[in-house]
Amino acid sequence: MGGLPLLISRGLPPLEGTLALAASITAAAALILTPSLLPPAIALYGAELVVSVHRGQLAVWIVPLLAAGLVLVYEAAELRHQLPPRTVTETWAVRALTRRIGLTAALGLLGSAAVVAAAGASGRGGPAAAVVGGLAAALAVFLIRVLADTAPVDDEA
Amino acid sequence: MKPEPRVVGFTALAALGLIVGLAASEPAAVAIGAAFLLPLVYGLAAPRPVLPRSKIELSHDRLLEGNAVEVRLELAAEAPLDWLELRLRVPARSHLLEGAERLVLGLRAGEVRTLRYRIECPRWGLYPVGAVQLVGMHRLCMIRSTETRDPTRPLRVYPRRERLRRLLEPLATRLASGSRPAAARGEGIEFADIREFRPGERVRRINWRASARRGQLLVTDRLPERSSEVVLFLDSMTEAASDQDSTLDHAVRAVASLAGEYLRRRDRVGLLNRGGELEWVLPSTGARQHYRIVDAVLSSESARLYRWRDTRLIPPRVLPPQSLIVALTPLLDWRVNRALLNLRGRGFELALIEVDPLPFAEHTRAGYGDQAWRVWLLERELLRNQFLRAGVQVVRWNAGAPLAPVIEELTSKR
Repeated sequence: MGGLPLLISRGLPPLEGTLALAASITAAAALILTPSLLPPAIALYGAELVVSVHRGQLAVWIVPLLAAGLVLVYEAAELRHQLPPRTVTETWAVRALTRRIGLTAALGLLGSAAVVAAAGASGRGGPAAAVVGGLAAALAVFLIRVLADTAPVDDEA
Repeated sequence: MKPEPRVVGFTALAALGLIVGLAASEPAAVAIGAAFLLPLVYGLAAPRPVLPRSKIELSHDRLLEGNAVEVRLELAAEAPLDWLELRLRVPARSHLLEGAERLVLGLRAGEVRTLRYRIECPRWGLYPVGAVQLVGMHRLCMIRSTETRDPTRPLRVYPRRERLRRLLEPLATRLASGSRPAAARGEGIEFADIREFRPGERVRRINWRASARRGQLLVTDRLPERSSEVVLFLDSMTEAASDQDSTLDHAVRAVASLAGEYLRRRDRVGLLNRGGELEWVLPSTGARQHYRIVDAVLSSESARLYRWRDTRLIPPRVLPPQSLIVALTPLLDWRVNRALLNLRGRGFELALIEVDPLPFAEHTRAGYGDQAWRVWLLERELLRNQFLRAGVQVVRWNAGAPLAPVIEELTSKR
């Protein structure tokens, strides 16, 4: 219900508040009803973020952190549907799950930060930032793959 | 191949961020898109998970209803797997007593894991015990391998048998030996009468003690032990059922009990199962025949589809002349009722055990109203009278009660 403070403090209808409210309602529906509503909910949260940054209410450097937060929200909400009730989960699987969520958020943070850094470095706005950010992301994937392939699979030892 | 919903979601968000960012020259949108793009690319670059080999062993192939079977599931992983969702499919009408129906576990390369389950089967039938669904994922769970493994053979759960001291005895006997005294006198063990000696009779038949007392030669007449032919008629066309049990459940138990007892007395027993299809087991004797009959009724379900087969099409070997037909029916289907009257019309000796559907139908009384209920009861009474007029003994059996008193009642009515 991230949009509620905005709605309360600023009154209706600022665009960010409306987006946040719509996002929260969609997220709640996604949690209760179907996971197929998750992407629209996250997209609405993202739109709220972009509008806030565009209007100068949020600093650009905070975007990677919030983007990673969105990835975490997506993961957590999806888990709600992935594991049906009365599922017994063993310790190793829980560790794998924690690792998965952590890695997804870390990759999200890395990708987002690379784009923001590229945009800041180029100082030329959107299209250049996208191109530079894409290249940075591809490099990050390459590095992570190399690391993942060389890392030992059995972490029990 | 259908893509994972997770992949679809990440792709949609990444594409949206990049497109909006490019179109609006907004780095923040691209940054949000990249936050989903990078995990997506990394996850999709992972190789497809290799599911472990599985082996299922059951503690029993056959079981008596109400007992539990132990299931041993062995998983042998050839490659490491971080996330393996395992779902044991518990067959309908059975209960999982031990073990987790849904389990998420991880396996190392070469690891062998054994999982144990206990499943209770409260009702007779064929249970596909041991069907498992495996879902394997690793890295960021963007690619999954799914497989369903079904058991090769179903678990056979046999109905409980009730011990019956007396049975409804057929009027006619066969020439083959059995344990039932024949109507005609001859060589046998069972005492019939003492009468005067006639020339030409065998000396060993003379009753010396009686002859000494009466002062003339007397012989003992005996009854030979013969067997009979009994055909059990099961109506599986319709059933009245509750959540717990049904008329068909009880009828099948009765068939198992009657077949066992008749066969124990060395009678030849056959089966006619009138469901959607007309199925039969030829009359025969012995313990194997009991299994043949019970195996034939194990898959009985109330018929959803129906194919008309007139009783005249039943081969004569299935219904030998002078055999006794014992029918178990809830008297709910006109086609079965007509078939039974038809059999009686062809001269077969018919005894009818009505598996009472009223306890199962009581809850519908309020829905249809008292008047409709009374009309229905009258129609059933009319049907019973129709059978009685045709010379068929009808006995109502409250399915929760023992079968023995019903057999006694049938015997006493003859």
